[in-house]
Amino acid sequence: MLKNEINKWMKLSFIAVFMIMSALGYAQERTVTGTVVSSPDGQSIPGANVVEKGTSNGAATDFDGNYSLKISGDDATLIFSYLGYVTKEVNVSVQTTINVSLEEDVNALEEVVVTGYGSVKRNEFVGATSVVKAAGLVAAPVTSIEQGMRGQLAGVQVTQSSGQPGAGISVRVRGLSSFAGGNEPLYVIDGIPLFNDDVRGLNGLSSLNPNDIESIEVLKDASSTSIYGSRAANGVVQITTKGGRASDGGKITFNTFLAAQQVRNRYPLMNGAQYIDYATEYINNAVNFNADQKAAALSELSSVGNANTDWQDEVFQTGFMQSYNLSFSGGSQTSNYFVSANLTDQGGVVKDTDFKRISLRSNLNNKLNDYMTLNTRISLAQSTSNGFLASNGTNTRNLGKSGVGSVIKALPTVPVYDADGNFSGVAPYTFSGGDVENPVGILQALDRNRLNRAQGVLSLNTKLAKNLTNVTRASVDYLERKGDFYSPSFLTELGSQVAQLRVFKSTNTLLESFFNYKKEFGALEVDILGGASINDIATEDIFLSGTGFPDDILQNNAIQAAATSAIPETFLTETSLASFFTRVRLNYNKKYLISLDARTDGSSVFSAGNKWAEFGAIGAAWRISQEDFLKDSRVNELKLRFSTGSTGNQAIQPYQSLLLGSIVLTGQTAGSGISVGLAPNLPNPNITWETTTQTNFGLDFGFDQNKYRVSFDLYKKTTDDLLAQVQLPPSSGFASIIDNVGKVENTGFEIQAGMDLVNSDDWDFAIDAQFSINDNVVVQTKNGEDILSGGSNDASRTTTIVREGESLFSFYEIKFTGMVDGQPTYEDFSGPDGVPDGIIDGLDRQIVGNSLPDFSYGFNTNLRYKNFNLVTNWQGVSGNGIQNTVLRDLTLPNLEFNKLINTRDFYPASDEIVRFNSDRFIEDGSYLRMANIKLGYNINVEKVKFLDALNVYASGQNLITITEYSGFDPEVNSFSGNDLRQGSDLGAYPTAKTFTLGFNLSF
Amino acid sequence: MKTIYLKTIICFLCLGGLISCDDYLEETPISEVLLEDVNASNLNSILTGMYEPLTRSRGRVWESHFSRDLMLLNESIKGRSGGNLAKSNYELERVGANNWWVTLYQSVGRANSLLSALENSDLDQDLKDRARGEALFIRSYVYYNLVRFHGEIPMRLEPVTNSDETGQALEPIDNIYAQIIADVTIAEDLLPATTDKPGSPTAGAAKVMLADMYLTRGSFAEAAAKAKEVIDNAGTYGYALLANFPDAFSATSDTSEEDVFSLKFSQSVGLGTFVTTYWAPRGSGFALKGGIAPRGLEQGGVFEASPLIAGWDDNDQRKQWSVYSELMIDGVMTNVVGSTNYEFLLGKFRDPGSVEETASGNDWPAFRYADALLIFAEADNLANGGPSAAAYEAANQIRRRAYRLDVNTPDPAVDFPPGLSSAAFDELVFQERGYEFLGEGKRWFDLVRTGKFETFLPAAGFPLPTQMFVQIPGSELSNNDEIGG
Repeated sequence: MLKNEINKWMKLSFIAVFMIMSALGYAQERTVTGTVVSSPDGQSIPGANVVEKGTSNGAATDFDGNYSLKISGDDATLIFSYLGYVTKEVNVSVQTTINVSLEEDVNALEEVVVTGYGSVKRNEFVGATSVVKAAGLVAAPVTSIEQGMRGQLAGVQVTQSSGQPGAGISVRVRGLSSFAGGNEPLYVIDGIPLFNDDVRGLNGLSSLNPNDIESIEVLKDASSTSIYGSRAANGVVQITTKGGRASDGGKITFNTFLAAQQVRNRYPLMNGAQYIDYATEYINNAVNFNADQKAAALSELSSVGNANTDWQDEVFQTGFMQSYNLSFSGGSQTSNYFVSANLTDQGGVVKDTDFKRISLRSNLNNKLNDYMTLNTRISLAQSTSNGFLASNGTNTRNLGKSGVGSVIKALPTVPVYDADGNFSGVAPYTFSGGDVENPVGILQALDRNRLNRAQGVLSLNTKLAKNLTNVTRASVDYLERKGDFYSPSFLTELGSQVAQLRVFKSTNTLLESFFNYKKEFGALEVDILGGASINDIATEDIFLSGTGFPDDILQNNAIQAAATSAIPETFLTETSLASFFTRVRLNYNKKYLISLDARTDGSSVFSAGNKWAEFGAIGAAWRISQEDFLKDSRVNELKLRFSTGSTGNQAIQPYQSLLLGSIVLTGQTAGSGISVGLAPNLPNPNITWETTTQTNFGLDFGFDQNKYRVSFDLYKKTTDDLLAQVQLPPSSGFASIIDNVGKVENTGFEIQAGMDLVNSDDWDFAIDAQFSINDNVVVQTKNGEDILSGGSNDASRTTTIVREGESLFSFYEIKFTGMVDGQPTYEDFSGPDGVPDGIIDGLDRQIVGNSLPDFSYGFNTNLRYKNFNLVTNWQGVSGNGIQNTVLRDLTLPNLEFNKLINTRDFYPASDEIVRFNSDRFIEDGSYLRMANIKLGYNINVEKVKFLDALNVYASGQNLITITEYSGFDPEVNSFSGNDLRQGSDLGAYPTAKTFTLGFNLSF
Repeated sequence: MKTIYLKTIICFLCLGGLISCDDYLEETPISEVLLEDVNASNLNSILTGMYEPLTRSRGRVWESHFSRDLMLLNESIKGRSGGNLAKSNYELERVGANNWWVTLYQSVGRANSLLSALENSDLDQDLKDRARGEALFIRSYVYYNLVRFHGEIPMRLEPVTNSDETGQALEPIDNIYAQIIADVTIAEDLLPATTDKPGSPTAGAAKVMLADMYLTRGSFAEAAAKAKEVIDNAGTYGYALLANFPDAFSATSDTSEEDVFSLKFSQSVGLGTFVTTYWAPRGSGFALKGGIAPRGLEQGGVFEASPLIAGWDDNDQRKQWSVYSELMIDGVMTNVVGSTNYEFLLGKFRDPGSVEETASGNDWPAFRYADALLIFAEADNLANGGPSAAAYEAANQIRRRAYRLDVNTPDPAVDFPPGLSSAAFDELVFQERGYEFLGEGKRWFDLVRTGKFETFLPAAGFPLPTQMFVQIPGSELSNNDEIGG
């Protein structure tokens, strides 16, 4: 199996490499060679770019600074460039060897921060940010960019919802601050603010190819985010895609890897004999059974026999994953390009589950004339995932009818197939429970999500005057998600021959223009920005379903063939946002820095008087290292930062301020047919923006040219007028209403530090670490009232609460106090009169923990010995709880479903047990995990003329995980980020342990 | 250069111009409609919207949960694992009273919105009257169910329009009955005798509900009189007993002569009833192959040893239809009862054509013509201290139909024996109600209003309830300022 996969992968990779090489073979002119060295010390410069002027022909120097370049002829000019050095041009004439020494550019050493509507040198940036660069992002074989962000960014918590390939991941910047407005950051791709929806539901980011990303900059404080105003309260994730450079010449890069994945952890379930022993003992001791019933039950037990099926074995597999990435980049004086294609195919650790992505990107920059540049960025992607029917906490998709749930609940005594070759029922006894499917059968249900995404940006940069530029751009982001479901005829519990098709489309168009004026007045640099934008989002939701088909083979592809079709449903919305924004940056002598940012947003989702809101911030920094007394010391950077300001949140559903009639259907007044009714809503014309005020203190410190570096940030974030679904007494006729109801505070501390411990010819060793603490407190709720999660149809058994003085979404359960005489006991916490009443019921619920970690951390090590490179990435969280619904179900003292081997440790007695949902199954979710370890080797390709670099590597992901959590994996969150029920494990798809082989090749 | 400069400025101004226009930010719903007043074109849709919560299928709605719990309170039904709600000390909060509470009050809310909108409407008086009658009928129907189940409840007569003012105190039981009896008395005059919209309440429906309310309140003379109005004018209202008892529970018919008021379900995914699935056998494929429901949850069954079932004649068609233990599975009669706690499953509602659990077409009978007859028999006897000939005739029509006989032809073999004392007649009518309405959610209310639970529950082996009403759900208590915490 493994061998076959490797063979297949090698073949495909070789074909790709061969094709590229053949294409390169056509260029055959004369060759120039030489060495590039650094001017002050004569040290060779590896990786310097050598380009033939006016063409995309180029090469990079090798480790010893040597290069070799085929040129078109004698009249060619070569351009030598390297980051941090002054670019140099040399006429070739008849020379065959050209050695060059480059001068250091003192001004160019500084890195840049991509901010809203522009960029700024990192050391002159006054805000708080964390960044992950291309290399860090793809250090491990990741399918989506958020995976590459895990554990790398202080103050940014990245949590996957499950281990399913392509599953969504939620990103939290500096804690949770909203009840209903969403807690996901705003994603800005190449300057275009795109969305801050819950990416889990839609997983819009799965369409992005991680290899296309140059950097991800997470903007955290008010100064850096307030220019995005109403959408920036949860931070801003600035994603910058790669561009071509003239210095790249014509560069072709091919990256590929093959990975094998296995389930990291399994549940210790009973086998057939263990279940029979358990059941026999249970029946014999059952108080509820009389002698006849006992005899009947025991005889049933023996008549069914024991097929001893291990359902985990039956559905889990070694999943293989392949990724191929090909990119072309380069440029000339007037244009540059980056074009890439990606194919990723990830098989899951559960059979018949996978994730596939095909993506294309074209980033072009064209200089139209001396004052205009046109930037074009187009990306097209399709990602498809086949899932394993995740539970959603409703009766329709409760645990037993979910993929993982059926695996753990199905009884081991039944075989996979019955004597006729059909899937056997997994409820063989009259005392076994219903609502559970055959897990192998459920593999054949169709559960597919397909995302098509096309994004295009046209941006015209115009130099209007010496100091004045204008950027005018238009973008379209079209997204279509198709959800496919089909339950074949043999899945009677899930619903025999039920076909569903849901299509969600969204078109997000943006038009914006801004002016930028930059001028130096002596030591004072002034940078003024002002602009406006309009943004429309139209969504369309279509749902079709039908039941009963002539053949299962049709799946959901011919719903018109259904014996009974449900009424088709469509739902459309349109929202618009109009904005003006401005920023003034002052930089005095590169020592004293001030940034003033402001934005006015008008949103259609609020009523007439509440549409407009203003947001603004001030940030200031003092670069102490620029002062004379530190100027020539070993302290190369010492910067104090301060910022304070406001941002907002308007992420609510449209039309909630209007008195509406929504469409409802009923048989009433139509007999056996259907009639259409209008249901009035309860509008809230007073709803307004959620506002977050944040103050940040920061300190950046760099020593010995950043050999030792550390940044501290201390912040307080207060969110007011929280948008929330406020529960109403149901007797009002309405369950809830959206309202501005409260206040949440996040206070935190972040530290990022790094050290380049060894830096020599043969050895490099560096370590980077980050640590963050965030304290979350609900300061105020509407009239001090609690907000409870959990609707009327909640089978998730997770109850959370929003209560003043507590963390957001704290677990709210009855407290388990231990087993006494074989019976579980619970704390009698309260009663109808506010005092314990001797009865355990809903009134005894109390706060028993929460899903927010006390602190989170990560560290990376990077060791190089000659051409070998060893990287490790570690991440961890501490102090968060997880509501383990699976464990609760697996220990139920009954005979209905399979159990954990040690069920008797939970409930020693048989029946007649009085149980309640309690905190007994809330477990500690703390973990420390080696997310990635990678050993790479740079093969010396000096002798191979057409190759620039070849790197081969082997790596492993999630090989070490230290945790007390008993479920599949502590990185889990079964409900979406906008749900009140956080920290729940509803039988989430298991996380994999992965082994990877790969190579990166560039020409 | 200059022109570029100019063009850009113009572009920018255009952009500014767009934004300054507030039209750009105005919101217009696309898949919903603005609902500013009630008029001739939207009146029917608004009325339909008022009924909709009562027939909502997916998501543990009231017709299934409410009726299941009502039935699990009966002395003749046990839950699958042996319990009856009596064993849970009648703490129904645990089984989810919240679900019907929410949907029932949504109907009340919509009825109140409509009643309030009608006051300021310039609709034609006849349209207005009829709509008012329907709204009063529905609101009263909901309160009548709630007051019998929960006792004191918040009684809202005005729509909630301000989310800051949503508190409503509990209303004394007597006030609730006074209000709903008065409201239905008004509706009785506003509603038409018949309707071509199956499921819309009629004057006949109002009279039967009124008679039922009087019976519950012990106002026997009024109950008998109201029931008699319906029986005497059965032709006007189009009422009769169907010859074949099972036809009254058809999954496919729009309505029938026996249908006085029912909640209408359709064989359409999401718009059907869940009740068939609730009681259908759990065994693999039994429900579907046996023609009961697409699948079975088997929430419980009927046990033979209970007093009502023990003496039930096997030849009574109602027994043959309402309970069963065997079904034809793949051509073989198979015992499908999946628990040793009971011998029969409830079979009143069966839909072999239902493709999904939310797609059974069986209507939920709130009142049948049989109600009018049995209310009359019981109330007339109790009001007059003995059964009149008319009371005998009403009860006997029910008996004759059960034995597939002509309802108007006396038959001593099945008719009640003549010369019964008032008490003996009452016992038999009560038993008849038990047979006739098994599975229709009426038994518990009958046991409570007559006080007969005190003998029936212990006789069936269940403890006596410690509380007669079910606690109001926590979601109400914790969000209503005027009650609870």
